[in-house]
Amino acid sequence: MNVKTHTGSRNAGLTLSIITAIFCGIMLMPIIALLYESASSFFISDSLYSDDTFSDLADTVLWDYIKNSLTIVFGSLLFACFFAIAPAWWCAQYEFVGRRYLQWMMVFPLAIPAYISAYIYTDALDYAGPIQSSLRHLFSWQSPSDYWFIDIRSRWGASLMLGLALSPYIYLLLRNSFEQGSQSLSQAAQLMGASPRKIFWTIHLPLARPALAIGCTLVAMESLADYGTVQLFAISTLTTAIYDSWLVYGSLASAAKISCLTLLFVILLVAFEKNSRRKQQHFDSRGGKSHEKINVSKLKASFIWLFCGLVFSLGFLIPLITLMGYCLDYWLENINTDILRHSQSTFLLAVTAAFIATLLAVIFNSQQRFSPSAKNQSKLSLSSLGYAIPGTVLAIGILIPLGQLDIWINQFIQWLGFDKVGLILSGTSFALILAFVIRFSAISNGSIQAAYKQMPNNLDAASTMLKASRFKTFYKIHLPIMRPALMSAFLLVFIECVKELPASLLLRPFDFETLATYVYQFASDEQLEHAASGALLIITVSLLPILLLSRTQRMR
Amino acid sequence: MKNLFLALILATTAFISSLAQAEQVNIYSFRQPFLIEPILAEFTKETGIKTKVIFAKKGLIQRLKREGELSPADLVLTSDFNKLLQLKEQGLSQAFELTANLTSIPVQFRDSENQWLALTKRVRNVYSSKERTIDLSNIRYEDLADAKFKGRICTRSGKHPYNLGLVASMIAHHGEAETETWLKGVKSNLARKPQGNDRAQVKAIKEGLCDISLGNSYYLGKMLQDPRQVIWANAVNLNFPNQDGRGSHINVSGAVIAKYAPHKKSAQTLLEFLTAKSAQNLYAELNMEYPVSPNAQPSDLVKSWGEFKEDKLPLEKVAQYRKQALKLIDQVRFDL
Repeated sequence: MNVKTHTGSRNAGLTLSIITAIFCGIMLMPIIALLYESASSFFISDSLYSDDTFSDLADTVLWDYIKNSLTIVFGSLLFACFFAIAPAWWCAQYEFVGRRYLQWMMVFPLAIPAYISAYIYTDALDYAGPIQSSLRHLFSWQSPSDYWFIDIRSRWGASLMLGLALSPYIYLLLRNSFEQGSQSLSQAAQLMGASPRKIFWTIHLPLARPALAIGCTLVAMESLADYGTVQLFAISTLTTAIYDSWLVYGSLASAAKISCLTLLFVILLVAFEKNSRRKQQHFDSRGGKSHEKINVSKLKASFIWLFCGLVFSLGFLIPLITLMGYCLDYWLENINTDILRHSQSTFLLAVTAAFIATLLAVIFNSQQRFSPSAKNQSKLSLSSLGYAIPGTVLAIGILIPLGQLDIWINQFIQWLGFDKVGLILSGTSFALILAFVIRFSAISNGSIQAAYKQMPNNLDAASTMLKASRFKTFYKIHLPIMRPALMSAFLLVFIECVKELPASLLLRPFDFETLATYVYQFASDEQLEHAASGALLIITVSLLPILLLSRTQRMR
Repeated sequence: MKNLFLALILATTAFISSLAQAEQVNIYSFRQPFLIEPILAEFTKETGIKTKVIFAKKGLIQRLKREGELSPADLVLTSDFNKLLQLKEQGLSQAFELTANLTSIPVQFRDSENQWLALTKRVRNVYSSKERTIDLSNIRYEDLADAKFKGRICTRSGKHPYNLGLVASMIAHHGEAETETWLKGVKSNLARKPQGNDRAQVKAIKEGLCDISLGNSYYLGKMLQDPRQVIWANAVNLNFPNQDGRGSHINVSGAVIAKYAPHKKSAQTLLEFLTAKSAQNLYAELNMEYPVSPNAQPSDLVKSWGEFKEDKLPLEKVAQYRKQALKLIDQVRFDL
């Protein structure tokens, strides 16, 4: 009996292993396709012109591009951490008036795509914008040389925009982590006379390091792959270089080389982070007592509200109000029945992709949990790589293999004597969902991974001792514990899908618009005003799951 | 999961059944749908042929290439001539039928092998501040590098197709070395790093940030129609460069029939519709562009900007230099 169960679970493990390997292969497919394409262009010299685009770029502007990219990544991280860490701590640790609302309000900036807030802030802060104009009027300055004003269209401006828009990642992951953090350790420290500040820096923050690290990796990857914001701010980065060399120079090979360079940065980043906490392993050892929040003084509460309110206003309220203003100013252009249809399809698409991405994250991570091995770890890491690839590049990477598959399918069907069925994979929403899942799996993986990291191994050991099968351990123990993480994984992927632009533009079928693509056709012409209602709907659709979540989790 | 499959199956069947309908044209468009929708609606009304559009600014050519012979695209609409020639070069287009209607389009606006066809002309103009600038009616593109304009010029990114086209035409006329010197000169005259679109430059002139900008003429018409932008438009004069010499640089929007168009006949019908007098007048009225058909007239507003001389250098010739142009722009670090 005993032996039988054992082989049974081994078989199940094998099946799972094969399944994850297949999915991992699918996730890597676009990258492999791109690498293959660019490599083959080396050997086949039938191209119209010799391809020296990359060396041209390297001679002229590549260094500036790299510098810009790294500055923006670093700057976004700095801003995102500044905006996220303190609020996460306050909301997890303290009880104050309105905390229940505040803890969800801090997630709201996620609902506004960075390129939209970038557009709005550029409009407001530019030389010709209302703020500078009225300042000039007030002090009767004549020209830009008469005074100094922040230049929003700069690397730091872009970092600020991205930092604001991405800070909720760090906030969400950290808050979960702080809330599950060890009470007993901090109580011990308190008994030893440590100040709350010291406890935070020496106990809580180090304990939350896995979550912080994952959050920072997400922010870094997202800001590295950003196109919309830097394009609007006229900053040339590696992403811009990829677009230029491919879509303007027409050189896939050099685009692939720059993509590899970008990937290299990501891999270095992840490796550095992993290496620095290699020897650490920490689990939540709850002292039996459930987490209790500390009441704070009125003064402190108002400071908390002031700080968080500022982040909330900058990241959410001001763009929202501006969009509403646009909507009223251009209300004729903004009344459009199509928009409702677009929101519906966007919603359906995002739910599907978020569901699949979360499911995959659970499968990959639980496999690594049950049978930790270098192989499984690398599968996990590889399946997150898609996040670092700019959307358009990923889209083409998906089109290459799917297009080929479509051709084979059609040949097969015609061979069977039927009529051509057309592009059933690359010409339908299938391609779009695949793109979303590949691109955003890193987010769901990160969220679930952080949850697993905090789950003590002895829970599993106890369960195994009781002869519970892996599935039962997973179902009865892991799943309930990581429910909040599951929720945030789903939520984050959902929101990203709603906002996603470049891949949606390129992969969508005929007569199919997502809200983002609809808004883009106006925003790309710097006429966001005419599609403000669409932008508002993106925000609404993104907020829906946040509100839903806040209802189900409010009781904590 | 079940729902997902259902959604997928529905999407697939919807897609396949949409392929099966005979009377329609599938369009890959580099131009925003809101610019062409009114004209397409007119087409459907007149012929009963439905139109379906996918719009993207980047990557459509790659998509077309990847889809190969299964591609559902019938017609590709572009907003500059580089893309037209790329489509032809990469073998993604097929010849249209040169019917009597189409022969009325001047030869420099259609391909010698009938692979592409221009639909509208746009001029690369020089905008100048009404208040602050001396008379610029005799300005040449070459003058933009003149030191007297130091710190007074605004423009969008040098890599935007409209500026790229202009630089390529400079290379065609003056050679690479001279163009590089010129670009350096323009760069050193810029009031700020290249950014925004053509309208944003006019706005900057209104605000006193600069005195001169490069921009296509139809933007002036568009701004005059917008209640918030009309004050920008009223702050500038529109100048046609190089009137005493070769004429102003022209770019075109255009169309090709896709190589594997499933509805080639409908695509041809649409092409003829778009170049016929009524649609050409619509283009002129709605988008303030110059029609390519000699039978159609620019809108009254556009006419009020005056007659001008165009650079007659064939676009195919200009397009040969687009790679060199791009390289030069990187070399002089124009956008940085």
